[in-house]
Amino acid sequence: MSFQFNEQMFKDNSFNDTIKQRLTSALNSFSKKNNLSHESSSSNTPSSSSSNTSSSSSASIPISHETNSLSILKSGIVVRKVNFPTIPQIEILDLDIQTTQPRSLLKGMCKISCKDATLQIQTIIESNLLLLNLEEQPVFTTPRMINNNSFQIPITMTFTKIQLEAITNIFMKDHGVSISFNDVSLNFDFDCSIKILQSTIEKRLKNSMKLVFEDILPTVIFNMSQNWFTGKSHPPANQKLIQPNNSHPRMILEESDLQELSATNMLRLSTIISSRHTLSLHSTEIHSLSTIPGCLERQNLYRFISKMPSLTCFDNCASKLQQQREKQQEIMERPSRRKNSHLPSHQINQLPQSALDEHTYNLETITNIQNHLYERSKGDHIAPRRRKVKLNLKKKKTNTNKSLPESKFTEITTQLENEISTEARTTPVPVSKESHDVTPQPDVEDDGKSKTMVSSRKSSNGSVHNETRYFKLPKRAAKYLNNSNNSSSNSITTDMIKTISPPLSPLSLSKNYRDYDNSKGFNFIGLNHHGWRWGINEDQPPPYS
Amino acid sequence: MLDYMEYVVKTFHQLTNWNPQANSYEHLTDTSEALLDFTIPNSFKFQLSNNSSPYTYNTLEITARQNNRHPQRINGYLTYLYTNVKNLHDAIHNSNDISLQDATQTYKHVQPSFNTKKKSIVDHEGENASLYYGRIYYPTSDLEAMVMKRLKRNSQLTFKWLSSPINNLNILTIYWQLKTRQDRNLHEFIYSTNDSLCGYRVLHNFVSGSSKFNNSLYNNSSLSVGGEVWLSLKSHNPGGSTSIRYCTHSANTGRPLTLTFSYNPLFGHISSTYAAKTGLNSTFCTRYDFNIYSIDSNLTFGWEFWKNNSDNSKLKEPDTNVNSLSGNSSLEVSPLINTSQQKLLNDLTYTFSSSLEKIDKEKTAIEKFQKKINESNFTNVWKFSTSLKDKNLKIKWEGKFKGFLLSAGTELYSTSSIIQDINGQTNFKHQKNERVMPLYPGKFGFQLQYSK
Repeated sequence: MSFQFNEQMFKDNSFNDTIKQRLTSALNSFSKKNNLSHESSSSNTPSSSSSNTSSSSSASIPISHETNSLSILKSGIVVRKVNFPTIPQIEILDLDIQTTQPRSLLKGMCKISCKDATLQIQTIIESNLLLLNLEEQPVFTTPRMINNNSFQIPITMTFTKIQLEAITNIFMKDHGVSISFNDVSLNFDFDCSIKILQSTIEKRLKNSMKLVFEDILPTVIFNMSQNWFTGKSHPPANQKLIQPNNSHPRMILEESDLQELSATNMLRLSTIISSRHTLSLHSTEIHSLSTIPGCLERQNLYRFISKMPSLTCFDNCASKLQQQREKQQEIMERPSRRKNSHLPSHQINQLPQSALDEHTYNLETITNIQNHLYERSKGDHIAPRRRKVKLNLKKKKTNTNKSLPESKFTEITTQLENEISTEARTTPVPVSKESHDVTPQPDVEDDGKSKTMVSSRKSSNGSVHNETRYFKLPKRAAKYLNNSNNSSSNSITTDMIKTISPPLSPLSLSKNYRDYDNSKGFNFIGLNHHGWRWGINEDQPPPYS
Repeated sequence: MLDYMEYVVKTFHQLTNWNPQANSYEHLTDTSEALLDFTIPNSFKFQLSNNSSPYTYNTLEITARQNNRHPQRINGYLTYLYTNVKNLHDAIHNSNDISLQDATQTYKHVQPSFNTKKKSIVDHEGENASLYYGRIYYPTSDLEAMVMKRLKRNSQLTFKWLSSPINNLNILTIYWQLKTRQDRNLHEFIYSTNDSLCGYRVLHNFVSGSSKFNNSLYNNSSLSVGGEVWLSLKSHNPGGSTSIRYCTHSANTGRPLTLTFSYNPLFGHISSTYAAKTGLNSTFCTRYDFNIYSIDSNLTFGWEFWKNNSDNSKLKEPDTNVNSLSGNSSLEVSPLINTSQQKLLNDLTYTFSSSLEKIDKEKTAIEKFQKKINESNFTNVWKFSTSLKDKNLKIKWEGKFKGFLLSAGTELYSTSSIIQDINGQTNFKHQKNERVMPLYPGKFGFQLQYSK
C-alpha cells in the first residue's frame, strides 16, 4: 500500500489562491441557485471542502442562512483572503488491510491538524429580515406595517486562527472512500463587521459545524471518491488539492513481490496475524508455547541477526568479543532447533582475510560455526553432505576463494564488529587496526573460547541453557580451558574445515544482512522493510543479561 | 379601484362607528400610499358583485392573465359576505350610483371622531355587529375567511384565516382592537401563526383644541401619534416604527393637507410625506425617504387629476363664482353643518362681525371647498407616480362608464434601472436602443367592475 503526499504543493502558497478561487465559485453557486439541496450544491465544491476541512466551515454559512431566506444575500460572496500558512499535518495512527475479502478493504485512522489559517468573506445582506419574511407571505393574513423598510449592508466576516484537529476513520473499498470524523475540535476567532450579529452567527456556525462534519463532508467525500473510482469525471485540478487521506490509497504489488511470496510464508504470516488477533504478547517471546515454530517475531529479530553464525563473523582478535560470541552461539542454537528456520539460500561463509593472514583463527570455532550452519539448514531439502566431502583440495579451493575478495571482507567484518560489539563504537578503520594489534595477545583465550563453544554445542543437544548459568560460564570455562588441549581442537579442525563450503552458498552472510535492508529478503515480516534497520544499523541490541 | 368587498367592509366600519381610517395606526399613511403606491392591475379582470339580500353580498371575479410563465390562464374567486348590520345595504351604492371618490383609493381627509360625554344611541350602534366573509379561489381552491366581531362598544376582534392546500399554508391571524380614553387611543394586539409574529400598535389622537394649532374658532386640524412593535418569535426578527400625522386645512385656500412623519428606530429609516389637494381637480403628494445608516434616499411624487362631467360642472360653476365674489358674506348656509351650530355662528358673526371676519373667511373657504368636492360628479381620474430611485413611472386611469367602474394602468421602467434590478450588471443588450425607447413597460392591466 502506498500513497503520495505531495508536500511541495503546500509549500508554496499557490494553493491558497486555488482555495480562494474555488471557494468563491462554490459560494456563489449557492446564492445563484436557490433550489439546490445541500448535497448537490456542496458536491459542487468537492475540492474546497475536502482540500481543507476548515474551508468548509465557511461553506456552511450559506447553509445556515438558507433555512432562513435566500434573498437575504443581495450580492455574490467575495472571498477576500485565504491564508493557510502551515502545511496541514496528517498523522496516520492506524492502518489495517484486510486481504481476506475479495476486494481489498482498508481501514485507517488518521489525525488531521491545521493551524493558524485565516479566511475572510465579504458580501452584502439585507438588513430587515422581518420585511423579507413577510414579503413573500400572502397579503390577506399579513398585517400591514408602516415604514418597514430595509437597506443593504456590506458585511465582512473574518475567521482568524482557525485551528482544526480531527481524528478520522477511513474505510476504503474499491468503489469509494468513506470517512467519518470522530473527534473534531475546531476553533477560530470570528470577527464580523456587524457586531450585533457576531454572537448569533458564531453560534449558528458552531452548530452547523457538527452537521458539516457528521453529514455533509462524509457524503461529499464519498460521492467524490465514487466518481474517481468509477473514473467518470477526472477533473485534473481536483487531484492537485486532494490530501492523501481523501485520495484512494493504492496497493502496489510489483511482480517481483509476487515472485517471492511463497505459499509457506504466507501461511506463516496468517498464523502470526491470527495470533495477534488474540492480543497475546506471548507470541513475541522466544520460548513460550505460543511461539510459532520457524517464525521470528520482529521483536526478536535483532537477536536472530546478531547470532547468525558465519565465518565472516569470525573474529579472533578481541577477547572482549569472546563473551558475545559465546552468547551468540548459545542463542544461535535456539533458532537452529526450530525446524524450518528460514535461512536465505545464499551465504558467503568465508574467513576474513585478516584472520587468515595472521593465523588468528582456530579450528574449533570454525567447526562450531559450520556445525550450526548445517543444523540450521536441516529443514531444507538438502541432503547432508558433510560426510561425503573428503578431499583436501576442496579446502584449498575454498581458501583460495576466500582470498579473492579481501578488501571487501575486511570492510564487512569491521562493520559487523561495530554492530555486534557494544564497546567498539568507533569508526571501522580503527577497530580493524585494533583487531590487528591485539591479535597476538588473546590467543590463549581464544582456545578457551573455542572450548566453551564446543561444550555449549554439546549441551545444546540436550537441555536448554539457563542464561544465568551461561552468563557465568565463559570466565570459568576460559580459565579451565586455558590449560587444556589445543591439539585436540586442532585435530578436529581438519574435519571441520571440509564442511566449510557446502551446503552453504557462496554469498557472504554480511551481504545477506544487506539484503534485508535493500529488498524483500525476509518475506514473512515483509510489510515494511525499513523496519529492518531497527535491528541492524541504528539501534544496538539491548544488553543481553 | 376599491374592491367591492373592501368597500362593503369600509362601509360596515363607518356605520358601526369604528372608523379605522382615523383611529388605527395601520391606516396612518393611507393617503400617501393611495397617491404614491397605488397598485397597477397586471391582468384582465372582471368583477361582478351583487347585494343579493339585505345581509349578504356576493362577488365573482374572473382573471385572465397572460404571461410567459402561465400562458393563457384563467382563474378567479367567489366571495360571500354576511353581516348582521341592518342598514348596511342602504349605505352601499351600486356601481352606477357610487361616486368615483368613494370607489377609488384617493386622498382622504381624516377627522377622528371622539366619544363625547353623552352616552347616546350612537354609542350602542355598533355593538354586537359582526361580519363573516369567505372567499374561495379557483382553480387552486385556496380559502380565505374573515370574522369581524364587536365584543363591546370599544373592542373588536378580527380573525383572518388562510388555507392553501397547494402551498401547504395554514395561517391564522388574530387582531384585537381596543379603544380607550374616550376613543382617543386605539390599541391593537396582533398575533399571526405565520412565523409566530406578535405585534402591538397604538395610535393616539389628540383632541383638536380650538386654538392650539390654529388661532381660529373653526378648527379642522387633527394630530395623531402612534407606534408599533413587532417580533416574530420563530425567527427572532424584530420590527417597529413610530409616526406622527397632522391633518389640517390651508388657511388661505381652505384646501386640506396632510403631513406624516414616521421613523423606524431599528433600521434607521425616516419617511416624511406631504399630501395636499392643490385644487378642485388635482391632488399632489410627495414623499421623502431617508435611511440614516445607509444614507440611501428616495424621492417620490404622485399626482391625481380628476375630470368631472361637463354638464355637472356647468351647473356648479355659477355657484362657485357667486361664492368667490361674495367672500365677505357670512350668511351662506352650508348643508354640512348642523343648523344649531350654524345659527350660533351666524349670531356670532352678527355681533362680532368685524373681529370674526377672518375666522369666518377661513371657515367659509374650507366649507366651500369641501362642498364643491362632494358635489362635483367626477367621471374619471388620472394618477401618476414616479420615483427618483426606482426610475419608474406609474400611470393609472380609473373611471365610470355606463355603470361600469373601469380601471387601467401600466408601469414604465427606465431600461437602465431594470438592468440593475435583474442582472446587477451594467451591460445590457437593449442599451443601444435607449434613445429610441427610454421607458420599458413592465405591467399592463385592465379592470372592469360592475355591481348591482
